[in-house]
Amino acid sequence: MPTLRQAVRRWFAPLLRAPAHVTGPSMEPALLPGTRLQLTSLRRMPRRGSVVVLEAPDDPGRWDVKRLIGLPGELIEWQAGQFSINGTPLQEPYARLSAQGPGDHQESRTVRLGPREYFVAGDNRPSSRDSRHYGPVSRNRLVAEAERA
Amino acid sequence: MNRFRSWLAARAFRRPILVHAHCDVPCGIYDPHTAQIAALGVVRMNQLIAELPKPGPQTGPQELEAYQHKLARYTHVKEINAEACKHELRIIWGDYFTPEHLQKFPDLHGLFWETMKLASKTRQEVNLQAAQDLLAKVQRIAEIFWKSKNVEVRKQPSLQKSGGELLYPVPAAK
Repeated sequence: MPTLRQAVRRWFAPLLRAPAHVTGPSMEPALLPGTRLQLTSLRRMPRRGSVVVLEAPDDPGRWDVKRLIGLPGELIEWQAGQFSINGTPLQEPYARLSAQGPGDHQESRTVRLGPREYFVAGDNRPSSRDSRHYGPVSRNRLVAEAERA
Repeated sequence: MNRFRSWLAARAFRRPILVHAHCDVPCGIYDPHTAQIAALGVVRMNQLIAELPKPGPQTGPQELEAYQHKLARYTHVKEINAEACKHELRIIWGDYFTPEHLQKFPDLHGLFWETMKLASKTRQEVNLQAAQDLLAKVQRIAEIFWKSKNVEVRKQPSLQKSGGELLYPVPAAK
């Protein structure tokens, strides 16, 4: 259950285009630690490839920044950090791939998203904890979209 | 309206919100490739700075401004790449390697120490030779890294504008 302060922050941050600051390397090379962002309201239908801020599934008080990879209803497959959407490989010029990506140790490398579920991933695939580990993210966990300030 | 919103945001969010780009992968995955790419970036920025036509007495104000702008950008990206290289090396040095590896590769600490110093040098100076030395040192670390996993390596052309080679692990034949 979020505190009142968390709820207020969540409501007003995108509305007021609040400033944000990236910490951690999982969105490199596009967003280096220290990059300044501006939060914006979520679109009704968020677009694939956009950078989003979400409540971390393992700690709702923490906000993570990730890239939106899969949209509701899609079949997502991944191997060595490379994604396919409904069987078509996803072209990701922004991604830093690796011969062996995290999540490869998991048996399941395919997931069908539910009607209000999204798949998020960090650009720095070898060093990111994302939907490959904690699974799809429901719409109500998405807080805002983010753009460079 | 936008000015009012900016004012309100500045009042309400005096400190930027921290958004986490987490990397605490629980399955112990490390890869020295990103350090190599960063070192290659340092090489490329040194090349671009060297290729930049230097301003002379005849240079006009607009050309001078363009030169200064390009030089600032290349230097800035060089800094970022060198620091990214150090960051990646710190993770491998501190998190991956263990005392058992040190017994097998006794020069490990010295190699990392020299490489970190070299990365700092590439930040301090415009020095293509230092950048190429940095890439070579990072590749030596990558070689040790893969050897510690009993994986063979191969070097192949980077196929980037910077030229040079990158070192890759070779999967064992089944």
